[in-house]
Amino acid sequence: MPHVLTVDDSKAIRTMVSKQMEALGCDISEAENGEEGLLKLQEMKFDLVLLDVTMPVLDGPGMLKRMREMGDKTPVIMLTSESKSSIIGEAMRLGINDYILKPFKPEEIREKALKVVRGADASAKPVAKDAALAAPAAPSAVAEFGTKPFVDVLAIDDMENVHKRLRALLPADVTFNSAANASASLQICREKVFRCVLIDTTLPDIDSVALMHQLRVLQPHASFVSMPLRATEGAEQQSVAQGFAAALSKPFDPDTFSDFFAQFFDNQELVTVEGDHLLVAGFTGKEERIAAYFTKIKELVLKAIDELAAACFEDVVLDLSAAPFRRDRSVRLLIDLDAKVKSLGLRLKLVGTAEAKKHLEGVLETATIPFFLTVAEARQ
Amino acid sequence: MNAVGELPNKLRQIVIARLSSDKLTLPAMPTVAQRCIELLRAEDVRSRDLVREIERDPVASAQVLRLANSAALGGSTCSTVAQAITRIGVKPLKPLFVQMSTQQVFQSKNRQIAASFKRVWEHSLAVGILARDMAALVGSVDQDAAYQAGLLHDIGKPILAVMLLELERAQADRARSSWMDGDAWLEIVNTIHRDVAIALAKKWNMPDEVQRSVAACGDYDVVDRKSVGNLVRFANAIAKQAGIYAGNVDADENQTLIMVGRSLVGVDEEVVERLLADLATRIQQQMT
Repeated sequence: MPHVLTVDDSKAIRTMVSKQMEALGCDISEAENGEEGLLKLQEMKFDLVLLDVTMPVLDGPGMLKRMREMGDKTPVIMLTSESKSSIIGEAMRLGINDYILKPFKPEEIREKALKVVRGADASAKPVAKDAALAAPAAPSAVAEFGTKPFVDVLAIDDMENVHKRLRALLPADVTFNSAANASASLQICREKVFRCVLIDTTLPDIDSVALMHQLRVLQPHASFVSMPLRATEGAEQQSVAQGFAAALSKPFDPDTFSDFFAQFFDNQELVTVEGDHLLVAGFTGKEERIAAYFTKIKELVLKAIDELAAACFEDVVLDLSAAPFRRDRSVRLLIDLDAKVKSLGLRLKLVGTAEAKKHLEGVLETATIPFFLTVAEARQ
Repeated sequence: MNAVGELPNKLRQIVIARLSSDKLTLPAMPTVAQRCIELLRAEDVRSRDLVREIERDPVASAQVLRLANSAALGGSTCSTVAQAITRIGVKPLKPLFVQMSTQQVFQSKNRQIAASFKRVWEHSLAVGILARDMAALVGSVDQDAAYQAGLLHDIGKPILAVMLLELERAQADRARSSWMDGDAWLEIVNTIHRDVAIALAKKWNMPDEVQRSVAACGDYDVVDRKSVGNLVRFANAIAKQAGIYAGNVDADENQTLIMVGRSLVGVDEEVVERLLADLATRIQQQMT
């Protein structure tokens, strides 16, 4: 359990800090000034010191200087109402990990303390080389706090009808929010996490590219798609050049919309990884898109195989029970995946339906791949 | 002290004296920009009045058409100023005119001077864009004010540079002495440029928030944590760290400013990295 020392002449601050650290699962000790802080450091080892600047007897910079002179490299976060560069700069030169300006929000102290303590945790662990990491790592003693609500799609357009049309085109299980202007979109992006953000390129008084850049800071994992008018020549290329992932032209065309949906949503659940078990989802689109499905599956599984190898798994249990069987495409996929697995020194085990097994029986190139009807059999 | 050593002090005194007595010759905002910004102050500004003013100036017309036809906005090509204003609306016009006016100050017919000014202008654009983005993130700050304050924060440098060159020529010829040492020259620019910027922001009748931000120096304002001045100061430090700056940077001091700024504004390291992503490309797009 990480042990944190808070050094501040204010009892109220020490109490507040202690409460936040205890909520993270840390042990906490307190000191009223720098001298006391140094004594505490001599008594026991700490993972982090939260250090005020202005204190009687011995101030923060003074304590920090003596710590470093004694060779004490305990991470320090300055927690102070002092902001002068001359003072903080001196502390930085002595070596501090971060800085928090008072008054502070509880989230800031938790996030910054967490980062320092986790950084210390990670560096202390030996690198696993031969051990099979079958189980996930034990949860850290330092807990995480709540996440924002997750929504699939945010549509930013001043026309309400566009929101209605998008809602109607999207499957019912896809969650959807809308915003009519820049400030509403910024506000909602502060409050929620989105998978895909659609931005109208003709929003009044707004530079949609600048808005996209701003929203991207708030939504680093979202895909950003522009919504230009279909009549605009070269809109897709222009959008991509400006930093969008793609363009979805208005008015929406059902086939184009279907491609957009497949590009940004289908692949999210196409391959699920649990340990060494790769579960491939079924295909739900039009038959013309089967080639794109197999291409995507191959891409995702190859990536997953790399991750399994890096985690020192020995087997890759590829579960194609739900996937469609298309003789040429399926066989080609298996050949490529088997080659990859072998190149990494792993073993490929295939799980599938009886029908698939029957089709593969006469195929020489996949004859060496063990086939099972269930995952349990594959693991025996 | 010899003539060479006396020159920097003399020039500094001349500039300060002119500033104090309000006799410093500062570039005027182009007439079209001035008139349009004045029109934009009215709540019920009429598009046709704006169109009439803009169409008087070919440079302004070209800039407005360029903005309207940029990929950012989509739609069919605009061929008239009236179409352009209908496309982009009136809100983006004011920052556009401030940008146009500011950019002109950084131009020079002398190739060498133009090249060095270009780096300062790039830095000013970077600070403007970063400050505007941060204003959008924090939500309680006027984005346009942050952008304009960012553009103007170093405007004193090119004005002072040209002024010093002319003064130095006059003084050096009279005293038959050598040109000023480069370090001394830079020292004058670095110590006085903010005073020149303050005078210019006042002359251009910039909003109070922008004038306050340009005047803000020294350390952050810890009372109004998310002020435009703080955002510009923070953006300035980030741009310097990213290498978008003309001049030497004290790495330790800059790192301190960033560390304090992150807590002040309430952003973490990842957000700063995201703010910087694509910044160089966005600056180049503005400059072409």
